[in-house]
This record gives sequence, structure tokens and C-alpha cells, in this order.
Amino acid sequence: MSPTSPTERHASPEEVAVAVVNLRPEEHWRLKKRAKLQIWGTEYTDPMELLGEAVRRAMIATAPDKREDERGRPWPMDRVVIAAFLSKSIDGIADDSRRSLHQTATERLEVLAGEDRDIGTVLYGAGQYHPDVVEQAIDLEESQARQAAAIVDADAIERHFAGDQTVLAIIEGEKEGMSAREVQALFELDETTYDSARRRLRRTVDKLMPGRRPK
Amino acid sequence: MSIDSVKTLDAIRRLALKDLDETSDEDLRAEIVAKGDDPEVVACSVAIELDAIVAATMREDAAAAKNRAAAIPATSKRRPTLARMKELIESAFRIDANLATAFREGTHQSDADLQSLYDDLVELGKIGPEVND
Repeated sequence: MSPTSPTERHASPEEVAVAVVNLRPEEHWRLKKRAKLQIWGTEYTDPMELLGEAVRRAMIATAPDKREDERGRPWPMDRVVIAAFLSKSIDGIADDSRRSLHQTATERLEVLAGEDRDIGTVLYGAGQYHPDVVEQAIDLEESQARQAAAIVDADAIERHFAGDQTVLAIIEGEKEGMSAREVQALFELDETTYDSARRRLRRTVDKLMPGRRPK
Repeated sequence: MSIDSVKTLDAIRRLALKDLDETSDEDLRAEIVAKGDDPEVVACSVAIELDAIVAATMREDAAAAKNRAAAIPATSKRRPTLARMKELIESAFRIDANLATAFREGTHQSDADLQSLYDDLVELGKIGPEVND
């Protein structure tokens, strides 16, 4: 997306609603698949919840009665098509959620544990059952549980590909921040082999990942 | 959560997203069929859920607008002093003779009548609202 112009027009809630209602079937599949890939490690438990949040934020962005605590994401409708906008919005909301969960967990651990104590000392020590502390510990536990579930998913995928050295190679390359060409050169893969390994990975993720997690 | 786990998760997600972006609509359709699902039914279920989200957001917006509108008359009911209201009403009647014919009934008006008349003329735009600070 190009930088925002100061005179850029953002869609009204009604314009967002009309555009969403007119999404094509192919765009529905694609957006849901994207949301399914992006809910990993976030506070969202269902791909439709994440996609719905992207739509809701586009609608409230220009609503005259938006509450101060609501975070809108305005849709620059003259410059970006709705499906592309919602894709980017899904990515942004998921990234924010992951970052926030990680940051919250870290900050709360530091606050709860203090300088010299661990979290167990804080929670179970004498006179430390303050409601705020317990509430924060529950939030922390939920956040850690979501992230732990994501690790289990990632482990399951890696185990699934234990015998597929090409897929493991492209995961390792991606982890190191290498480009597709660099990975192909390092592991002596041609473009087709690389692409088909990546396709196998996505399809497996799609198959192994639950579409809906229990809250 | 170890750094390596985070990096693995991020790497798998990035690779899968890149592949999704490069997958054609036809291939996506074929994948849905291969999973034993009907592509039209899948798209329809997404559309129905999105419709519900859009409708719920519109309802929230309408409720907020209604609350805002309900707050406006309360503000306009703030009036100037009775003496100032009389001045404003007389002035409006002088400017528009038809107003006097339409509103003046009898010779004596109570304070409540005066306030009500003032509110009506403000609502009609014949008097600009004033408040008694």
C-alpha cells in the first residue's frame, strides 16, 4: 500500500457494509483461509472472529459515534480494493494481538515477580491473594495457554514433516530470514521443488490446524 | 515460549501466507473440493457470518446515534431568562407577522406557555437558541 494522502477519503460504515456484502465467493475462501493461518498465538479462537474484527474495525473507523476506546481501521476505498484491505487488516490485527499477548505476559511476570521473587512466590506467598494479582495471573495463564497451544501445533507440523527434508529445509531457511532464492541455492532445490514444498506445508497447516479452538 | 518456537511458528505462518497469496482461485476451489466440501456452501457460510457481523455493527452504530440524538433536545431545553424569552418572541413576531397569527392565542400567557412557545420557535428556527448562563 502506498503512503496515506492527507486528502484520502475513507469509506463510511455503509460503504464498508456494501463492499463486504458484495465480496466474491473466491474472496470469502481466501479471507477465511488467511484468518485461519493468522489466528495462531493470538487472542482469537475462530478465524471468523478475526475476519469479523477486520470488518468491524473498518466500519467503526469513520462512524460518528465511535467510542474513544474503539480502534478503527479506515478503508481507503479509492486506493485499495476491499479484499486486499481486509487481508492486510487481518494481518495487522493478528500481529498486534500476538505482540500484545507477549508484551502483557512479560510485563505482568515482571510486575508480579518483582525484583527478586518468582511468580509462585508472589501468588502463593502469605497475604498475596489480592484480587488484581489473581486476575492478572489468570490472564497470564490464559495467554501462556494460547501460546503453548500454538507451539503444540507447530510441533505437530514439524513432526508431520519429519521425513520431508525439503519442507524442513524451507522452514529453516525462512527462520533464518533467507529469501526463496537463497534457500533454493543453499539446499540445491529448483523453483518448482521449493514451490511444491511450500504448497505441501500450507495444505498440511490447513489440515492440521483446527478451524475453531475452545475458548 | 522459547525463541526457537516463536521463530518456527512465524516461519511456518509466513511461508503458508506467501503460498496462499500465490495460489489461484481455481486451485483454492480444487482444494476445497478435495477436502470433500462444496465451495459454494463454504463461501455462503462465510457470507452469512459476515452479514451478521455487518448487521450487528450497524445496529450498534444506530443505537449510538439514537443516544446522541436523544441528548440534543435536553441541551436545547436550556433557556434564557423569561424576560429575554419575551423579547425574543416579540422580536420574532415583529419579523414574521404570520407567526403571531399562528401562535398568539388570548392575551395572557403563563410562564409555562411562554417557555413552550419559546421552545416551539427555537425548533422552527425562528429564534436562535440562547442559554441563561
